[in-house]
Amino acid sequence: MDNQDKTHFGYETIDAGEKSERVASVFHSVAAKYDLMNDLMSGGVHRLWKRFTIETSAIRPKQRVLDIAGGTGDLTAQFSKRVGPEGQVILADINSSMLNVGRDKLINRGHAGNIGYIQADAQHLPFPDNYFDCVSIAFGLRNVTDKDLALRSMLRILKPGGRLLILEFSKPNNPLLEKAYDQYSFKLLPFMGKVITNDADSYRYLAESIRMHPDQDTLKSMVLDAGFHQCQYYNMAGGIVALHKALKA
Amino acid sequence: MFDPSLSSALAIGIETVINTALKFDPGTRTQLKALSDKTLCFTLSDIRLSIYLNILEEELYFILRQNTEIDSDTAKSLGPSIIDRADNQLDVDVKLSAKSTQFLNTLFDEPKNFKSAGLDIEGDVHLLADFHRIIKQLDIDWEDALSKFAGPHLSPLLSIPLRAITSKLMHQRRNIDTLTHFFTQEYSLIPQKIEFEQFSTGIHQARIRAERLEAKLTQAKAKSELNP
Repeated sequence: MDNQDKTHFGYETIDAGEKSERVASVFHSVAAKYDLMNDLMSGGVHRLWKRFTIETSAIRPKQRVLDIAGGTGDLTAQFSKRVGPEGQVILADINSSMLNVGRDKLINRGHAGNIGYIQADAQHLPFPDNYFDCVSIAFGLRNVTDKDLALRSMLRILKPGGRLLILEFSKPNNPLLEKAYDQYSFKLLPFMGKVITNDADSYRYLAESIRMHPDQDTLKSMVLDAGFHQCQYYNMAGGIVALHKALKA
Repeated sequence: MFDPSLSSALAIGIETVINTALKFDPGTRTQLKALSDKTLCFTLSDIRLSIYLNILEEELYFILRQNTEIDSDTAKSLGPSIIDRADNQLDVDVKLSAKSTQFLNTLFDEPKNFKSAGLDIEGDVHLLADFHRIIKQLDIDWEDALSKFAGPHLSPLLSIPLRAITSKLMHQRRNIDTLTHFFTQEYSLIPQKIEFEQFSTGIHQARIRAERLEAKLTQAKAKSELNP
């Protein structure tokens, strides 16, 4: 945040208190076709990024996982298989529309028994200290108003030795790729949003919010400043997406 | 730098093929369930690739990792305990390391022992032998697999070339048998837990008898000194 009262919503500077409402409005609008748009925008590659996240989690049966901003449940479904019937996965999302879509999708696909659902704010996670073996947040951190507060909240609820996984859009590490990516983000994405969901503005926000999100090293510093021990990141798609992994000591 | 999502793509491809095939071999699936939550690691040292095979219930999950070296400055900044955690983030039950050519040679040649085969094994050798035994008994019902696409009349015909390919691969069973043979040979040299416990009990009893004998001798000696 630039100062205590202001923050960014894409390229727009707004009151900090207003951001969560504006973000909520975006996700209420896109929830119904969120999965379709993810597949179209990334050519299905987002599944590989999420798969790598699951692999990096090294989650084992009987463990407990929190999937923040879990939305439509892609990571939750995979975690659910890996923790088994004696483990637990909690899908948390601040947006009720996304949570409903996720819950319906997971139940329809037969994922039940070890999955819980909660509408929660990443900045104020309603769980006990030292509770989870792994906390993940995929493509959600950039929408959080106070990222430092959210990171400290995630640290608190992780068990010692637990893992934090942040999968998020980041900064391409090649200037040519960055130019191509800008064209794609600011021209093609809003057009696709307009055609598929009749909502170009939400996808313009997507492109802008990505540009306002910290780059790989800045986010790594933020994670370490929040109190995590060791943080490393993995670039994918030339840095367009990065997975940050950190441990709680 | 290598894009890790590419390795995920490859892993998904391998898993899809193998787990789909396993659906038509319920016997193997049932046996795999007994090894659930076990992880085997095959490290190809020459190309610095590790293949992790995690058995979860009746399915196999693969993770492919390029092994990168950490430079000394990074190592110093991370500290040894952190490196251990980073290296051991994927807990394995048994690790088999060799050059890729050595892995292939074990299938086609007849090595005399692990050392001559160039294989380095760490961890649970019993698990490796159990897994090997299960794979050896793989019997995919190709007719059932193809019947969904080709119908009940064509699928027997179409399954013939697939069976031929499978049996060609399994012709290498002679060498797989050899591998299994020296796995069993090697771990037959390792005492079973009950054998070791029996041995320990025998040692303990022998020590007690020796101490009793020593005490009796001491007593007898004392008596003889009192009554010369």
